[in-house]
Amino acid sequence: MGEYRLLLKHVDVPGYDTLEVYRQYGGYEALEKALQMERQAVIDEVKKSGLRGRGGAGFPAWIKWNGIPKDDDKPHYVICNSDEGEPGTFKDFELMYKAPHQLIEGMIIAGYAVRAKCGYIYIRGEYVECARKVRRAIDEAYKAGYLGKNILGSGFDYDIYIHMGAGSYECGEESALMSSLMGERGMPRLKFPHAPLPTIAGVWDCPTLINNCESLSCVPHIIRNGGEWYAQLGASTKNSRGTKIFSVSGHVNRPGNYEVEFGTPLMELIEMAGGVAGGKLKGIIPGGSSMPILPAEKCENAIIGYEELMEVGSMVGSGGCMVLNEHTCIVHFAWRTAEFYAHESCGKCTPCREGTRWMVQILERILQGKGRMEDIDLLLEICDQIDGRSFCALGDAAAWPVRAFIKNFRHEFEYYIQHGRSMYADNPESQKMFPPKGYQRYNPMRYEYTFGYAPRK
Amino acid sequence: MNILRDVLKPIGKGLRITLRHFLEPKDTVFYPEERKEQFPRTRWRHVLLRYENGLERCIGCSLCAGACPVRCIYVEAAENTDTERYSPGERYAKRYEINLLRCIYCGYCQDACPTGAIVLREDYELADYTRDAFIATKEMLLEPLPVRDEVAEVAR
Amino acid sequence: MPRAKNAQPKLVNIEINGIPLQVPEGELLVEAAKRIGEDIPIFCYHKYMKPVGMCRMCLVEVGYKQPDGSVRKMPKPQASCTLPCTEGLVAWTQSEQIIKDRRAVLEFLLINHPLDCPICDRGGECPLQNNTQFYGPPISRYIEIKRHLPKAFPLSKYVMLDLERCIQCGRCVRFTEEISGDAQLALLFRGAQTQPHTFQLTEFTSRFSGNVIEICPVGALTSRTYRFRARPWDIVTQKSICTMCSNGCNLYFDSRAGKVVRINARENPEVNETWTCDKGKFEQVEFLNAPNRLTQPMRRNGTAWEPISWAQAYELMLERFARARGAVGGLAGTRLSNEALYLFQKLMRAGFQSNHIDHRMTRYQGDLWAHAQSLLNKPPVANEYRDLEATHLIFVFGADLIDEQPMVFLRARKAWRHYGVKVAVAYPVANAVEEFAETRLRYRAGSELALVKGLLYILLDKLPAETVAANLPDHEWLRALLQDCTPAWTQDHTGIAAEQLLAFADTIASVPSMLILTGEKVWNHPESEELVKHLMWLTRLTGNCHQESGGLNLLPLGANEQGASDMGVLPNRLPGYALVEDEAARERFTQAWGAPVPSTPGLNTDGILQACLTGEIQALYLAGANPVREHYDPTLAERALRACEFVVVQDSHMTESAEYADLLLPACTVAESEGTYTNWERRVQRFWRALEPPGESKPDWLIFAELWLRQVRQTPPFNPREVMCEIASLVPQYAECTYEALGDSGKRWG
Repeated sequence: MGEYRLLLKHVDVPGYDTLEVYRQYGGYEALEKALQMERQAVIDEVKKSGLRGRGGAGFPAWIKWNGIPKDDDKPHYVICNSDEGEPGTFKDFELMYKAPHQLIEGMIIAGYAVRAKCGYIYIRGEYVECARKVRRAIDEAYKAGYLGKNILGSGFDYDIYIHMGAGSYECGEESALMSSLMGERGMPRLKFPHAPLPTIAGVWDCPTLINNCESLSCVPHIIRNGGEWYAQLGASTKNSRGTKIFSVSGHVNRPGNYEVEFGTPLMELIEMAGGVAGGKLKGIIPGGSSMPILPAEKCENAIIGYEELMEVGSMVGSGGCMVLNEHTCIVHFAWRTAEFYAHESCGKCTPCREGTRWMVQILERILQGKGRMEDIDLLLEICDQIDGRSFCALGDAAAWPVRAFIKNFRHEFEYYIQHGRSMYADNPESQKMFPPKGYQRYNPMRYEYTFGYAPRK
Repeated sequence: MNILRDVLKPIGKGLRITLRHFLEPKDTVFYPEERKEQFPRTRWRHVLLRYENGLERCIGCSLCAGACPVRCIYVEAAENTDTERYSPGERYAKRYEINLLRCIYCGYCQDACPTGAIVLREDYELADYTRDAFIATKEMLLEPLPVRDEVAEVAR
Repeated sequence: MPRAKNAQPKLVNIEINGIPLQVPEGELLVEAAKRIGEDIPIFCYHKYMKPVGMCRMCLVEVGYKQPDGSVRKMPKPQASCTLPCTEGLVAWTQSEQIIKDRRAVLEFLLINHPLDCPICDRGGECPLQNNTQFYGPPISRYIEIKRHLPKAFPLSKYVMLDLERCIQCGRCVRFTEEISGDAQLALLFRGAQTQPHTFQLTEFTSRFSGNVIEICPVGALTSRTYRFRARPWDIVTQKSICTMCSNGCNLYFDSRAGKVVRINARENPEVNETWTCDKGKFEQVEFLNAPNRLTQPMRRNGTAWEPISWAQAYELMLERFARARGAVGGLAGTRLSNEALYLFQKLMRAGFQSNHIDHRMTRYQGDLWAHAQSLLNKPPVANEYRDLEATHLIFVFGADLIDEQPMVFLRARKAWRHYGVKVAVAYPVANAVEEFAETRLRYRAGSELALVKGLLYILLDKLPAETVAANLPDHEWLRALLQDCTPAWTQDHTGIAAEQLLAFADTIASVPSMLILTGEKVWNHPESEELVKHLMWLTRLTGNCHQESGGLNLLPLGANEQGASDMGVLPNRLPGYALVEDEAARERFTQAWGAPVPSTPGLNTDGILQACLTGEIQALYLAGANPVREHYDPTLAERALRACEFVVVQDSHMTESAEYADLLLPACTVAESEGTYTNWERRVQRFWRALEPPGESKPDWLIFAELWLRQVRQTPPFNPREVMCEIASLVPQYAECTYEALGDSGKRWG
């Protein structure tokens, strides 16, 4: 089916991040159109499009939009979740860096639809360049009258603010993001099982619409071309509509962002990225490091789509597609993944706080050649003890990949434990991937406990 | 009545038993000059043990007092400091008293002790003249400091 | 919205472990389960704090009944501490999955928790220990190295932090954020390194720091004063009441070997919930164990004290009192129990034929009861703790609430935080209430009266004429009285900007009910009688004297100051506020006591002290009173004591006033006697005897009873219970306050 560029269509045009060039390619037409429409009509358009959240969970966007109270006097807020912390995902970077106006247009339309007072773009702390681009774009939009009081004479007032994160993966979780936005510690907040969405009481206990950067970037296209048109894209899948940007990385020849229609076979995406580099395919993590790995044999038949990938045992997630070739040591990979989640756990709930660290300790011991055979089952059991018991999804995200690695590549773990060394220790191809000896990749403080504030050196 | 059969013969029989026992080795010991060896599991007076480095094993946790069925143990704990160290951890027993008149030598304290500090040993000479003398204080219970084997230390 | 008083919640049907039950809607599942005796294990959940669902110990399987009768089970277990009950909720707390999950959480918690239980102060009363015993895994599969952090880090004078033991439940952090409001503790770092600490390792200076020790579910936060003093099985626990202020917090005294080693809060949802202040928790222990205890009756012999027996002491005292022939006075302390105070005034009135008794040490020594009854038709303290949450505006006037009334402060803060009650504060200097007060009036010290006058002036204009006429029919004279007190005048006198005062008056006029709390600054104002009257007019003018959840509260300061007034330790009032001039009342008491009661009102505290100087009072009885320290004019007290011919001091400790005594009678503290206290909201609460009296000291009530026996030659009461029966039969307000009726949590009169 090939690449289908919708959001990334013009990103390579020089100066597309400026208002002038953006308008040449039809920018802010959708906003003008939306402001002529009824608010409910905008929501209906999104409903018709079948847009689902691009952040990972795949929740139908219109339900959130429609859930915002329509006749209350509390201020409403729109939040764009650009805290793209998932390892392997870098789509929001490109969207914000190269097409900031697209995002801003989407946010204004969303704000109009839900009667919002203002919008916040929560940008990952490391994306300083993106924040600068978005800042510039917002300034341009204010000057052009797309933001501020009485936008385009419609009587709709709207402001957009940028909020930078401080480098926490956990703040990509929507309730933790809102805590962080409110100046609190970036910990997830309480959700009630019968009202899991922040549409009634979100940030500052006011109705809040929170969407991923990519979801909001889709909105101008949906409004301009109509929901039905958008729904045609990916019509071959069960319930996934539109396009999805995949950030292909790992052992491929041309890593980068590739936008495909839902329904494209997974292998075709790898082909777009230049095919597997350095050997045969071992497995693909299609949705970012928190998703279970797909071994090579399952990849053959995998089709991109929320339900379709779920059937083969993984998820679309945020689209951070990581490709591993046959020389990759899964034990190392599992340790690195577990290490990331142990570092990023916020420490709120017991299973995630203690369980993730325990997993890292066990995997570290295996890597040192002191593993025991029962450690493999112990790891699986720890995964079970974390999965579904933690406060937010970070615990699940830490447990799923490790479980999938062990289930799919158990023999590698057994080999490592039996021989005290990796299966690929003598493989010259693999040697390239290991860090050179003496290279300290991570801060050793991470494993030790600090008391109070460590003195600055 | 036959004097020989009814009188002298039984007397002789009895004297024979006496004579036999007279010649046997004696069970009686000349206490206190001599003492009998105690069985290894004898449970008499308590002893508070030390580690090899001389630190007290007792941490003053009062678990023995909790386990004691007759409530005859009183423990008062205090905190170790770097200059004044009695036991390895944070806590040591400042006062440790056992009322030996109340004690029934059941050994529950020994079972309860988490560090194996209190044991019941073979010292059975507990008699005294006043009741106050039966309050065994920490100084009385504590094992003496190990004598340093300087020859061995130098050799090491 | 302020909490509706006595509102009936809606009931919903739920099912726990197959047992159907009805619970109020929105009640948390963990609380609902207690109704059927199902104790769900918890760590982070606390009844009086907002649930957070951090520890995951309370997971239960949950489903919802569908209209067709089937049950839709949730795929994941839910934390029952964050789950409000709704119609059709079905929960399973004992299923195999839940037993497994609990074991998993405990295994996780224990991987980093050191097993130093034998030396941990929490050992034996530790929720983690208990839950592990009941629900935990028998062994741990953790073979890695545990985390190591500094063991005993002193956070403050009272609190010790052991981070290795911390299980990161966040209770302490939430307490300082939600309850005490000083937010001094925070979680530092993240993930497995999360640790509660003060910012930048500064000292933890909260006034309520002791509570974090009690709510810590492990031994991470321990008391420094109790550190290694006792184990739970060593101590004897007794119920008691706090004597540090008039809040009447319910406490437990834990004693070992004849000494109180620790004080913990006793839950009473109507009074202190489960909180204490550091004064009651730590300073009280210091007070009870102070080295200057009196243990022997002593009489002055030149400059030295000569120990004598009780019989000699009584003989000496009665002889000297008899010589004084009615020229005797008595001051009672506010730490005495109701029983002791009742017997004291009975002894002074019927025994020594003197009405010169009082307990007040502040400038205000007028007839408060008469004013309150005539102007407001209510007692001087109109409300109770619960009203703080039901009112619309709390006006703290002249009180440093956190210092004088810590529990009232916590309740006022709760009312503001949970029920959106507005708070206004007027105090000369910065104080803790200002942090959440909507209106902050920092007037010039001593200008309280001008402030109230200014407010009255504005409100007389601002309130609708018909309201003014209805509330204060004869308001014209008040207008005349206040004609000069314009906002500009008030600004000149108090230093508060006129606009601010006008805005505050707007707030007062707009709220349906206002609750005024006053403090020390009112009692000790030079024109305190005028000030109290003006405050009563303010209450009346705004119609708050008719409000159930509003009104004027002239908060007493001493532990049993309210009880002392109730018991008639006042120069002109018999127990139950009957006037001494009242023939019928006097007759009633004369009959009951078997001795006549003098009919002329006596002198108040100032009068007694002045009379000591002039020689009109020759013998003075200080029963637990310490005027040199407590009286607003210590020099006057000192001179009076020096001038008085014969001073008897009956106290538990060697006080400043005791230095001037001719006879010392050793009394007991609250821990060594039994009786009742009446707190500011007129709640009569019992306390029990925790310790034996040290040495030859005797409980106050017993000393009075023995003097009564010797003076009047009548059978004295046998024990405090009997005294309370006598009070109940004579004082209409206390008619239902027998010990049986009071129970553990007390009873409020009026």
